[in-house]
Amino acid sequence: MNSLLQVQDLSVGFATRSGLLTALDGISFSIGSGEILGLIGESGAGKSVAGAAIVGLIANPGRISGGTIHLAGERIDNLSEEKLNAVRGKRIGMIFQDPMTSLNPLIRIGDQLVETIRRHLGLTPKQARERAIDLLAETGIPDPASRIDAYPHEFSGGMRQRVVIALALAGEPDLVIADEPTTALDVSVQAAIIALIEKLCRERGTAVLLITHDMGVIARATQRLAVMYAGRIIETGDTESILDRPRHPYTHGLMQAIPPLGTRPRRLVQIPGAMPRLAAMPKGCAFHPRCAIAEEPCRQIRPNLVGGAHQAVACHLAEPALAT
Amino acid sequence: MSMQPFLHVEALTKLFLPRQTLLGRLTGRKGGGVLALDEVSFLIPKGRTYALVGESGSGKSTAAMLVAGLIKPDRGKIEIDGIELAKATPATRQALRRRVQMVFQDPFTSLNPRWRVGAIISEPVQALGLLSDRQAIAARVVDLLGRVGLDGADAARFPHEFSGGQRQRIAIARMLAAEAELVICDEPTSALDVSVQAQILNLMRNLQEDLGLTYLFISHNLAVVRFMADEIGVLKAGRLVESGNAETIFADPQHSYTKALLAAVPEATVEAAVAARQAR
Repeated sequence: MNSLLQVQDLSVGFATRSGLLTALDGISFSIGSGEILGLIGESGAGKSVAGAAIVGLIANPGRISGGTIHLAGERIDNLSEEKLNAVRGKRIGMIFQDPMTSLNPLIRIGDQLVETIRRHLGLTPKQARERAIDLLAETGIPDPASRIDAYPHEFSGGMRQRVVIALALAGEPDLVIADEPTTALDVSVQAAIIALIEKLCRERGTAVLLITHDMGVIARATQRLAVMYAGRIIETGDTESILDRPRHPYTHGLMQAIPPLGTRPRRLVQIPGAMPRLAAMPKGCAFHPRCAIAEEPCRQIRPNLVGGAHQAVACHLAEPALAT
Repeated sequence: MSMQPFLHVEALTKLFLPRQTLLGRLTGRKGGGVLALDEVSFLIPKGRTYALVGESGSGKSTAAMLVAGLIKPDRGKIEIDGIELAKATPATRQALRRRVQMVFQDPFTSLNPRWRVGAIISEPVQALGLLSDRQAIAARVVDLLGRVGLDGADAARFPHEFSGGQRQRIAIARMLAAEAELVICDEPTSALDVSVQAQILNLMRNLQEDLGLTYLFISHNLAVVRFMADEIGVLKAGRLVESGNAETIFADPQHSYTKALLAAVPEATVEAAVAARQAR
């Protein structure tokens, strides 16, 4: 398959006093140009660690403990800090949850954009400024020629996130990693930001890794998704197939737990307990202590991801017990 | 069910004035304030849930703080179980303080990290003089922990030993310890994961049915509000643009703002995914 980003058996460990904790346990996925892959999971599932590992932002005591990451055929997980800096920002752009912490509050947004553009594209200051205005226009900032000289605090949350997106695009990256890009925003603004990411992806052919906890955002923005639980991908495939028929009991439970907008149920379907801590990972399937249908093999053997391109699931009981 | 409102809010108005600058003080000119809440009225019958929904800056948390008595209104009236807050004597207000409790968004900052869970939960019992015997208080703590789905032995532990969802259970146990009747829930599940959120929302509805609690529920999350609320009020820039039966408003919103808000909610359904693909 001709993928822009190829992540193979990626593992990330954190060395602690109580031993090596595995935050990411052999995950594999790929993203093609112009595609948005949704990476969904709850807190502690490892989804942000996956994003950070791809851009080489895993800090001590964490480190990539296994696997490979290829960007356009070139291996990027073992690069020197110097070479990595050429990849980060230039070939991979990043959008984080809180736009206020991604922007320097003391520097006009135009100067932040110009600096980034000049660093990655080597333009003259004048050319870079023109480029910055174009980028702001492209990301939907009204009157970009005058807004370019404003400070971050002079923008609303949604407009600020647009500036962050412009900044992520400044190096004309092949891949954008968006980690909870809409979580801090109001619902009406959220929809506009999703639409913007989709548009850029379509028009520029940028590949996007969209990391989120929100299945609704996944439904709206992605064609393919991967569900993470306790450091592993437990279900992956076409967004529509999985939404239509989630086969992993966790994915199923996660969707059931969302209160519906239509009829009001007396009680929500709930998954008991919480995600295990890294230091107390259960044997066998990590989900088995919370799983309503777990059987003996689930307590002993870790299930592998099996299935085809449309849908693959890591569950011993996926076929017989959950088939409908 | 009695239709006597437990909470009655009428024409509630709150203006936040900017701090006066030196120049302003010298010239006597006042800067423009922000009308955080503008003539907001609603009522909640005993044992029911009214939800205020709105986006950031809509005034919903201001309303929560006013009803909790944490800030004073500029105009308007708040009546709790027939007692007008502004006119109540200090003794009456003290009694009301027990009956009105809050559950906050962030269970990491709303629990004292230096106190054991047992102390956190027994504090209102002692402070309000509900029980004085040490053994009776300890038994009450165990009983309350059980009610919220925690273990009696958890009383000896500290908040940091618990997950976010468990901490919110502790906060709920503390609210129950005060024998609250009106509970102001300000985004109580916004910091929680979806699977844990479902547990907490179910717990809150169980407790409401068992104890007849009245909820003023504040949230930006329309799906959560749909599950919790009997009636809702939609706030926009301090004004109620639509208010009434939740069922009716969700099925057939009248105000354009409510319609836009509902349309913007990303739904996790295959229909939503198909519609999104077709729109691309």
